[in-house]
Amino acid sequence: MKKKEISPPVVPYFILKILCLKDWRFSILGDFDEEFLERIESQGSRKAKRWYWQHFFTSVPRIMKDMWIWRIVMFKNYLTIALRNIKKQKVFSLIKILGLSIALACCIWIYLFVKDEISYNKFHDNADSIYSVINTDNYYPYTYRNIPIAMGPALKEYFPEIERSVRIARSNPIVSYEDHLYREHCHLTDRNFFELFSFRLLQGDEARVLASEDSIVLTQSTVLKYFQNQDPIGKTLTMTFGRKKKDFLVTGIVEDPPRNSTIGFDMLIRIENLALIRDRDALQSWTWPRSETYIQLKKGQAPTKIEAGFPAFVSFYFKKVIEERKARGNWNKEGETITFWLQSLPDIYLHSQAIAGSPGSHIKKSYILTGIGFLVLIIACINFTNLSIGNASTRTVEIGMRKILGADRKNIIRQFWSESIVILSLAMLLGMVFAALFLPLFNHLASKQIVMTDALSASNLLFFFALAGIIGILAGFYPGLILSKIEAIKIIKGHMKISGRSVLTRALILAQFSASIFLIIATLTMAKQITYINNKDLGFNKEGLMIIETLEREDDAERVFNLFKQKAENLTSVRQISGCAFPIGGPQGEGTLQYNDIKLKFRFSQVNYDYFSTMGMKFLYGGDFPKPVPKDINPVVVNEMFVKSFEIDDPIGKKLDSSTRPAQIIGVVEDYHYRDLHHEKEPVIHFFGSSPFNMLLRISSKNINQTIVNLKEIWQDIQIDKPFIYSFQDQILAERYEEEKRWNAIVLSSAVFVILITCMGLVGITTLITNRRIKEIGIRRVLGASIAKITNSMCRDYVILIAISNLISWPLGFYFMNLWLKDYAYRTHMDIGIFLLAGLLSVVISLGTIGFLIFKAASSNPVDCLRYE
Amino acid sequence: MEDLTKMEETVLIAIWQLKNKAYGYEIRKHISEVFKKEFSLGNLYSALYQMNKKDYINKSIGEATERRRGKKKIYYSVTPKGMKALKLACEMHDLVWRGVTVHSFEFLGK
Repeated sequence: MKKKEISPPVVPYFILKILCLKDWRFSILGDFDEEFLERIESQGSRKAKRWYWQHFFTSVPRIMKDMWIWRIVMFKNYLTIALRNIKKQKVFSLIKILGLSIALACCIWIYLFVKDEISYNKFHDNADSIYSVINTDNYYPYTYRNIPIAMGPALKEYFPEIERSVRIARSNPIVSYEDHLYREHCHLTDRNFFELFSFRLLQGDEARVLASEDSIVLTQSTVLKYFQNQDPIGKTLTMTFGRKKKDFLVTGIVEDPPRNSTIGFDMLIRIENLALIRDRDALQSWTWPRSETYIQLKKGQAPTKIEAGFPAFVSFYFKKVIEERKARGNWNKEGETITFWLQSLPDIYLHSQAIAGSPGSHIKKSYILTGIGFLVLIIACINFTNLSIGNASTRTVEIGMRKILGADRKNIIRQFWSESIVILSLAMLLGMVFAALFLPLFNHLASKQIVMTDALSASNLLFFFALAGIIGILAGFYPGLILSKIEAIKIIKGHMKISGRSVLTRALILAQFSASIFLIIATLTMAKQITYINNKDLGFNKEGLMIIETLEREDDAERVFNLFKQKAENLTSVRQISGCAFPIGGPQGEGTLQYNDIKLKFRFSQVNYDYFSTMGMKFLYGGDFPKPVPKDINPVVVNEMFVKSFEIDDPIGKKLDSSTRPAQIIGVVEDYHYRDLHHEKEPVIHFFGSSPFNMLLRISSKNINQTIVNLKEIWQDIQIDKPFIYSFQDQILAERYEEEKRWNAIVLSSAVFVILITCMGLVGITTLITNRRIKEIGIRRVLGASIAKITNSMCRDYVILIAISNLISWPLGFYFMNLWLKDYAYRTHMDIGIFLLAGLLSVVISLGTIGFLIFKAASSNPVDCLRYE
Repeated sequence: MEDLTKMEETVLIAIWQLKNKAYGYEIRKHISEVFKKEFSLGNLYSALYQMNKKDYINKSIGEATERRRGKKKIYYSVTPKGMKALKLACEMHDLVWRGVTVHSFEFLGK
């Protein structure tokens, strides 16, 4: 017999454990175990397991029937009572169910959000054994997912543990077919792309679609774009990469990459085409160009084994690169400078913040949203608890009767559990309706494309109702505990009173208020920061600045730019034209510079004539590039920060470099925000560049659409085979703050939900209290108290509660929102106005909600409420 | 006194025959080996549960063994009331079958 203990299947074991009554549990399970063990010895573990399952299924109905029959009968009774109670107290039930359903809808959304976030890249069949090779190189400022292009095949050759490797290089060529002309996301990749990844081919054979270097695979939507209903197989697409053109034969159609894929493309061609785009030796390079490289490990191989082999791999293959760097004096002697590590495919989306050029999400988002979801849920549960306890007096006789008939405490608690589970289930149904109805809104806020049909899978539904059940048990526990404590004899004698003004109720209301006020403070602070960002003087004029891509490089770019400039300047709506490599907010160059004893990082930018005046920047010293730029020197314009950081006095004419063609400062511009406001200002050098990738046009704000049409006409004269691609500077910058705006909206909506639920709870509690005190109010009125005085005295309680919760929330809000603001290098401050406004809002909203109820009670006719005395 | 069901009767006899080693697993084994009848543990426990409620059998908690992964056994014994019920069942059985011989079935079968 094997020494290893084989335990019975987990699922039936636990179900049995739950189903069996306590007295019988260990004996039944023990018998199962004993026979299971014997069967393992006589028949082997597989048969024994099958026996266990079979026996489990035949046994369960009997066990259920015999042991649970009375519980089920009792539960039916509880259910009837619960439904009767819900019907009897329509307002309170509505408040409970509505509040909980809103909260549950939030939870459903957040659940779907988190599920979507963690689902990225998991659709690949081999997701667990596929890794992306990441490179950290001290020579470059970042960590890259792109590694030297020659590495892919070399890795496969060097490590026997690797099953296959696939390289992906991203490119944006211009694609034309008949009169269709677009810029597309085209991935250059290896021929075994479809063997490694599980993108589904609709037409074509996995192994053969990329067999030829001239073949191209299109996604379904690209096919629709170019060919509509025609059959694309065998048709020819023309691609333009810079100056080079090539025809490709369509050999396959692939399904569009799913939303939750980090690899998204419109078309695929062979990576060998890089030789055409770059130069003939491009594919043998151990420096640039680079490509993303994915490896699939053989079954049972651990990634650590590969990682351990990397140092030896580097010293073997990178020998030449290292020698070259040493020769140039760029070799950092301390430690390894070229290192590689592996990141598993499903990790890419959520864990790539440290890797350059990897857009993705952050797990933090899921945590924050989950926190918000729990908060809203707790607020809704508080309503449930408060109203159940507050309303207990109506149930005391029933409970007393049950106790007299022999129910013990456990039974009473169980009854409350079944009631709360009924309410939670109703709330969950309603919540699912809410979630489905407002799903587009949530998708907009969270920038997701979740569809409700995805959400309605069996496992999700099971989860939702399990959640409802768990919350029901938690929420029903306390009221049950309180109500089951009461002594039957006291109730029947009529001595028993449960007050709705218990300390706990107040504490819970306090928590609700505090959460509401905190969220108001958060919303206001975020809104203030966003206003600050929008109104901040950036050091240049972002309005009316149009950016048109030349789509060319080097001489061609210069030619296009000059031609375009000549023609466009004739338009009255175009004020000024310049050009630059990348617009502000786009990709940026970074370098390090030593000046005297100071060595610092700086950003650089290549600009054309009149750049500074077109952008609306001001010179502190010196001036713009002279026309034409002198050939003997390399003139540069720096910013104020540059002069300050490198401590340059009297900067004009200073030389920056010791190389043959040193840069010479000819002007200093006032600091402007080169990056978004999360970042501090940095030293910037502007070189002169005669061949811009982007043309900058300052246009008049009138009739922008007509201007665009005119410019397009000019463009089509010059660049007949290139699309007209333009954007606006303010839009580019606004995109940088999309995230902030979305989060502000998310916090705002959660604040609205929390306040809404809190107010519903307040209405409930106030109704209870006024009902209970109606006679007291009547007597007070008879004795001469005015309506105002009574209203006043009844509101006082709430005002005190609100005041205390303000005191709790203010420091919390101050602390957490300052933490949030710290993320911005340029930020607004939290002033007392925000807190006062939050406090005022809380008072106005809550008194506005309950004031009417209280006033109605206070102004009721004493005769009506005292009539029966 | 109610009549015993066929299953209760079988289980009760098995408990009586097993004397002081009658617990769930053994009873099931006994029934399947000696009486050649297969009961699931669920059916067995259903019968035990009912008879315990009717006071035909007594429960006593026994030892835990390693083969049961530390879960204790429950031993059952037949109470006087149970014996009475068994005796009644036996008499009833005799009464019903009096005069019918196995040969008559063989005859019918042909």
